[in-house]
Amino acid sequence: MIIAEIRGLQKNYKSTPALKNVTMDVKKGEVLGFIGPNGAGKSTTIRILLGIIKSSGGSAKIFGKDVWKDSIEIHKKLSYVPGDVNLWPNLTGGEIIDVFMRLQGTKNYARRDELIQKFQFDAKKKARTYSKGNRQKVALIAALASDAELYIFDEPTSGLDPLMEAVFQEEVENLKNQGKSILLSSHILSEVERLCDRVAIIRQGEVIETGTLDELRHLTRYQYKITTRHEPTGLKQVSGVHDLEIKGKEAVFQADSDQIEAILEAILPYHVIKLESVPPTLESLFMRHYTGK
Amino acid sequence: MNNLFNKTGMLFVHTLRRDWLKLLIWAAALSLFAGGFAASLYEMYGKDPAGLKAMYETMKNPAMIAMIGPTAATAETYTIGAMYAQEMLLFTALVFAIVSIMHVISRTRKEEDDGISELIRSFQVGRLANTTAIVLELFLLHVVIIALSVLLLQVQDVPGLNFSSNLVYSVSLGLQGFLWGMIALIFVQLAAGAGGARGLSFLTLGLFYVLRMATDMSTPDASWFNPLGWSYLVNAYVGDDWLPIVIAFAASIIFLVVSYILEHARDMGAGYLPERSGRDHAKDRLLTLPGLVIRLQKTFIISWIISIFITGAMYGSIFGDMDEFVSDNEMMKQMFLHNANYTIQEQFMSVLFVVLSLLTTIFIVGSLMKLINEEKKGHWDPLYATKLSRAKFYWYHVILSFILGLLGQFSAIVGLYLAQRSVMESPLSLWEITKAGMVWVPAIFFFIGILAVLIGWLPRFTIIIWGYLIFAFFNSYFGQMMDIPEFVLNLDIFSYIPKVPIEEWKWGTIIFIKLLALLLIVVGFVGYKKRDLVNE
Repeated sequence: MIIAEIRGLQKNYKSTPALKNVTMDVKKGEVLGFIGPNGAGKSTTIRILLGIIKSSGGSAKIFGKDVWKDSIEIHKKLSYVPGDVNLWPNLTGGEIIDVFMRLQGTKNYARRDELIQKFQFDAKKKARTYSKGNRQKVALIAALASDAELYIFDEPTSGLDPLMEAVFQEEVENLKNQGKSILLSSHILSEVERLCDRVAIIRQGEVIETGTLDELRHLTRYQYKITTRHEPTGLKQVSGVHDLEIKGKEAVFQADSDQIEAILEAILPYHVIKLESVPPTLESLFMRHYTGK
Repeated sequence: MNNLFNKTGMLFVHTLRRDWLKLLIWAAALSLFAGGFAASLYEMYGKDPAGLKAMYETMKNPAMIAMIGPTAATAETYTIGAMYAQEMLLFTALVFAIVSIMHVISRTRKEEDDGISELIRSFQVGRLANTTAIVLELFLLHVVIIALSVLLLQVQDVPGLNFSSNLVYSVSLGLQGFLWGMIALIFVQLAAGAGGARGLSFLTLGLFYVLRMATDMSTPDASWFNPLGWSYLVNAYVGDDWLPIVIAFAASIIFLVVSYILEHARDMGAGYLPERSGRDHAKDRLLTLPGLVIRLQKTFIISWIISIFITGAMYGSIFGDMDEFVSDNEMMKQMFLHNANYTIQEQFMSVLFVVLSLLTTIFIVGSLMKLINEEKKGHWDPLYATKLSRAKFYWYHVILSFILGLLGQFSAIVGLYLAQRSVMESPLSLWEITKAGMVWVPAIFFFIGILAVLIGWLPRFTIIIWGYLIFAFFNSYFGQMMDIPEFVLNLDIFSYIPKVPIEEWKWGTIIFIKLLALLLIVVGFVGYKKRDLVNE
């Protein structure tokens, strides 16, 4: 079942296009990672999904409803955490969490207190005294305590320390296990790798890749490190081997994933005594898309 | 269709909970401002018909009409009520308007700029709900103010001030506050941010004030097309006309609807007015601390200097009418010519500079305030982390505000000089006007001194300076009208300044106040150098 359906979404500011073609789906019970560099259009996409700004073309539906026209209906079952949380300086964190929960329509106070505990959040202080991480916690606690079907997180862990990041990841996994759907925009690729079932990559206002991490890995190269009894000079002639570096009896290279068989055949004659392979990280994927390496 | 107003009620309650203390203080202060002085005015003028008549003649002076607005009363109907309404309505309306504009923008566009609205709108909150909550809050505030003002006037039980007139007076004032809030709301939609919205709202307020100055003297009927005119045109205590009130209310609703339409059609965070894109790289002069400090205040400085110049010119432009007015009027002749050493213009000018100096003071207090406000926002942190010393920060700002004080006062002088030269047969000389204006400079500097001490020692309470400024304004404007105890009057630095040319230039006082200001600045510096930095 598709929770959010986004087709050919566009947004123009004056004459400059911010979004050219965003097409992706969030399916029920999955975490979709939404990655891309600064200014690629992640936040613009999310703001359109929230019905805060209006798209210039294409369509976006959540729960089968139009995100602009039916935003209130959608928001009843939606929860959002922005990357940069600003709060009313003269209210306490606890007060603000309660206001947010009321506006969202949730009354699960036990869950709220549990989260306050988990995030080690001091709810009694005025919001003006909070650091960035603590302001972030206010929005996170309110969002996680609410009973939604779709959670949208826009770089939610910016400003959180690694311990709190882990708490957040744990909570997202719980949500996933309960069958909730999550759209997670993030820069922290390890977080995306750990949490996301599928990934959508956006560049210059266009979603250029979507798929599971495994699918995406097919598009890219594994890294191999081998040690042999004889210097494996024959590798130089094998197609599908890139960035080859041979140091005596050790060789390091990138290999196209559909050429593994040929490569293995080529190195066998040199008597392999050690072989390490590293699957492509999201980071290398990311780099490849953006820097062309 | 989406419910555009979903959760308005909840947001309204939430806003009240956030603002209740502020609103309470305003309601008390504004209603006191509006209705609190009737009895003391009565004590001074009301008991003696001759006194009222004299006041009527004074108030018919074009200069007075330009400043505080006209009256529809004749010599016979110029009762204590008519006088109260004329003296109070327009000025109080201005205060109401300023408060409303500030509040509306800080609760709408400011929160949008800060990103709070984005989070709010991700809940099941209608697109127009927040705006509506603020409008309701503003309306409620003014209903309370109207009630309190009427109550205050009733309690004072001044003969001639009856309930229905008190009601007209208070409602017309309260509605001015609401009306200007709605006007600000339109600029909230048009401008690209809170700063722009504030600037445009105040510009509009200023323009309409100047406009009514012209129409009140030449074509009073044209003031009906002026939102500010809808205050004094009710002719409270004389004709008690409800029509301007109806117009003001209808206009408020129209403005509200217009801003709803504009808000609904725009993206959050966007405006309608174009934003210039800036330069790629900093100019060389931006790369020094004084250059940076001036650049940050550029728009602020230019707009204030121009505003002060225009105000000076406005006052100067009525000098020509005053001769005619006095010569037409036997009683005025006696009143003003009893001090035959000075022309009516000279006598009037000495009072004018109180107002102009207050304007300059607001200007430079605002400028020096940037030193502390930017610190609170953390904008200076990256600079404090460099080899720049605190001494430099402090002295550049203080010296800049000194220079701006002189510039501000001088632009008032030049504005006044140029305008009166074009309308008078035998105009005053630039030197004469300069003396009358520059004599106030020490008092203006004294404000810098007080603020410097606050910045150095009480950085969290710098807002006190505005309180002192309001007090000084109040003293200068109402001081003679009311029985204010001597020791209170003495707290106002402006009261020590000789009103040149009517009074003699006193070197002693002037130098003493200047030294005092300097001393305060040094005291402030000692505190500033050693205290912790603060942030909000």
